Amino acid sequence: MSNSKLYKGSLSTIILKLLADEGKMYGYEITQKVKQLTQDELQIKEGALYPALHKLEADGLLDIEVKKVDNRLRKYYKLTEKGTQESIGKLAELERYLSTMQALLLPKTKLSS
Amino acid sequence: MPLNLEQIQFIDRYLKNSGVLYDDVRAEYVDHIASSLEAEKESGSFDFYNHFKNYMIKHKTDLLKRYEKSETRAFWFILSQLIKNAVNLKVIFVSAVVYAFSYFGIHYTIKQYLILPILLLALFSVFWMVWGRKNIGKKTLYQYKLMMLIFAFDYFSLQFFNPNTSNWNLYLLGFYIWFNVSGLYLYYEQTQRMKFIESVS
Repeated sequence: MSNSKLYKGSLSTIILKLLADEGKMYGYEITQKVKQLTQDELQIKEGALYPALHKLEADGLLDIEVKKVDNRLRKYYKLTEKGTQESIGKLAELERYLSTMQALLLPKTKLSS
Repeated sequence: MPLNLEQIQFIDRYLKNSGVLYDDVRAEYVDHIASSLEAEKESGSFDFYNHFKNYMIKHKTDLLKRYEKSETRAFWFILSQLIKNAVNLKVIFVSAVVYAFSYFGIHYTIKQYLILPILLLALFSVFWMVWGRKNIGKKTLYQYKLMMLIFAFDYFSLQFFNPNTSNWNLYLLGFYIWFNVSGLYLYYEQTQRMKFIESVS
């Protein structure tokens, strides 16, 4: 993942948000979607993505579905009910964080808006 | 255009030889690498071996480092699931039934309760050896960690059976049965969950 320290803590939230929007996705698709949405600014490496997905799965936030596609197995991830709730909470938490950071770093912008 | 079966098998074998042993994790890595190579294939001239080599030069170290971390995490996950399962009503019920049978069946003949755990361990070892031999490279990460954990527990707990203290053996036997039933139940759950995993090689 580029700019790793700043983005690392948000990886789970990014995954949960994408799955909330898209329904179900597989690993490579997630990396490409992030790349596309951030216009190549953020690139998630598979070495960081899969452990994060496995952790969310182990925590009961994600469910899996496996299909045979083009001579290989493809594992799709989707949110469980608990995962849906968690994604709402995590997004709210991230929004609060962003607004706090904005207030700290760009106080003038906030006052003028 | 998708990669052909031979190319997929090549990636699979390469990862296996690099130490990515578990089918479930490896299948996911294979799909990721294959998808990435297919995207490159669509964008211009493509030589599979050359592109694959370049991909691995760029990503192999990070990928294997994270894989090792996944292994450690899997161990703690399985341990926590094992403890969680131990308070499952089904597990408690089956354990109680097995314990009752052991108690009434063995108490009046072999008071030291040594025969059952030894027998269970022997059966378990045989199962492990037969299963392990048949399934080398065809197992999932969680199942493997679970088997290792139960085997280690059984082997360790046997050291504490004492022929001279039957009460202590009684408690230990109860715990032994409880842990093993919980482990077998978890193994069953994992098998059900992972039954779709099949080797592409």
